[in-house]
Amino acid sequence: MSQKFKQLIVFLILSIFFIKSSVAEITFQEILENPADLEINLKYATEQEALGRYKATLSTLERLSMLYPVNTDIKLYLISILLEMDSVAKLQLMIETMLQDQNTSQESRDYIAGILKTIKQQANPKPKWFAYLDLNYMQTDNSNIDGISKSTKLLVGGVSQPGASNSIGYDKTYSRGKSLTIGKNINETSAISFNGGFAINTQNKGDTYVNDLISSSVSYSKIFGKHYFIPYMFYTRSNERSLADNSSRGIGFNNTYNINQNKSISYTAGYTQKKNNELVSTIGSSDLKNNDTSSASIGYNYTFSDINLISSKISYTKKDAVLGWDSYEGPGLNISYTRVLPFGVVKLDKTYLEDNYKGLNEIIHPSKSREDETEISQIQLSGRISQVIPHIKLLGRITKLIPFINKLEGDLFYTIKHVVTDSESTLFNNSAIRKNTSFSITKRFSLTK
Amino acid sequence: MNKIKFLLISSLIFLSTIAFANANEFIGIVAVGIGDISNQKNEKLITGSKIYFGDTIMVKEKSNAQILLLDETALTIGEKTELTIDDFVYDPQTKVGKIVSNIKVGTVRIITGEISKQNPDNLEVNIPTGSVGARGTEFIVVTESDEKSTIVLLGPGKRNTLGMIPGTLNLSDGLNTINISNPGFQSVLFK
Repeated sequence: MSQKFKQLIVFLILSIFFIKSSVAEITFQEILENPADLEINLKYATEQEALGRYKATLSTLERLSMLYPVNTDIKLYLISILLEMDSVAKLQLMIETMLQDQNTSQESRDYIAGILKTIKQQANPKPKWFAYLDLNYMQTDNSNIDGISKSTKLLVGGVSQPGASNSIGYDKTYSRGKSLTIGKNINETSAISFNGGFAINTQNKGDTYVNDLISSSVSYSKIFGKHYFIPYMFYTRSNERSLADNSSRGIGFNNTYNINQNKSISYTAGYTQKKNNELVSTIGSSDLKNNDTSSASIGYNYTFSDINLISSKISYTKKDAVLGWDSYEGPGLNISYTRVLPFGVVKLDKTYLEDNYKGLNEIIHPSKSREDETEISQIQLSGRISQVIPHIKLLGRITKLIPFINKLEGDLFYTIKHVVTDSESTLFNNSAIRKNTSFSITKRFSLTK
Repeated sequence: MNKIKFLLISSLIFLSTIAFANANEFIGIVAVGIGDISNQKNEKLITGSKIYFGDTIMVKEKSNAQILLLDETALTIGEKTELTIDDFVYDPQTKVGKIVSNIKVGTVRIITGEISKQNPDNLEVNIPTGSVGARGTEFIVVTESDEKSTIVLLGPGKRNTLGMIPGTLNLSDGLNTINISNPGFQSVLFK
């Protein structure tokens, strides 16, 4: 394991400890000594909420509500906790009392009206079936689509050679897809959904990434107390223009354990089997590239101020290929920060991977094995088009597109993403920098009410 | 025989020491005291007053209080209520213990604490018409008389978004047992 990787893990552990130690300052003993102190008790309530000790928050807020009956903020805080606790009977009683109180401001009444609407929505049972159709278009600018090495040279038999003259650096790829999802809410805690999709991928100059892709998946979700289980299985098949057609099938799960409202642990595992149709090329039969990949990860997620999420994840991947030199295994580390903004959700993401390949590829080097270190940096902005409409209305006025822009409401989603992948390898053929910028837009048609 | 007498006397002295120690044991505070609140010695209780093992708390008309026990069980007591903490044992290190409280008359809202969290069977609320056991929850007991008590489960509900285990109440009138697991649902125990 490299020094850099170790440093990142130490940083991650320290971050988790910092987050944990930064929330609990007021002790229960201090509350016993100062049961009526507004500042101390309010701080205790928020700290206990952050620690997931909601009953302590509840009893503290009730105490403050008794001691400071005209303080509307305490009552509204208490109402928000009761709403999340699904304590409907008590919530309705509190709301009625507040609405009858002449001291309750209009702002508070508006807030209460919103809560009553939420309660009404919660009272309606979920529909048994749900179905929707997604139409998607994505365009990607690739700075180095063929992965031309940093030195622009290639190792052949351990000797440095000039890079292939037909390699493409900058190119654009386009993807047009549609997918249909049909699901059933089995009961209040479980659901099953089926997805089938078809995508046409094209490339501007080259043809490496030109294919038609058929995909399908089944997933099941189940809630057990604080545990969310989501097992899944999938199958994809690609019809390639220049490469061998291939298919992948796999199973896995994406599970989450909610420690409390702010903290959760996510853990995943997956197994994928990829098969290529036999196609003999200059480097041999393509089915020699068939492989099985297993991966697992465990992550920690921390939400603060409702609009910020910090996630960290450690993973391990193992790929077993028919060709020994195509097999590798190694750890990975991912850290991300997500923030909700008025016009969408921004995500900053950093991934560090170490892949140690097993066998020697003597065509490239007779004695040196391949070890890659890859750093992936990503920035992404996503959301609904309706969230950015207020910001582009001015543009609509200038370009006289106001009627068209006004129609862009509801389930129309956008994603803008910039990814930089920097790979450093013991075999410089694989040392490359790739920069991709993509824009995608998805229109969702809900097929059920 | 002398040896037996000595042992008996020693045991009595030892047991009385324990009882004396328990009777003076601090088990919680009056976290809120509004109006006329007193204990069995007719001492007036105010916000911050200490509660001791075996104390009876009496909340008079137009008064209310919140009692906070050392395991963070919170008892919100309404007017015209009389309540006794008959048993309270709690180890803050292991968070294990036992609470037995007796509501003679009146209204008490209870938010369970660490003792119930560790073992729900170790929280017992006795009422004239029976008893209430609680698992990780908030509930209200209204004892109108020796003949009738109403118990309402308040939460958390099954659709809580906090990952909390939904609350359950176990009620017994001495002969029959019933569970309440839906917030807002109530049961009336008659004698």
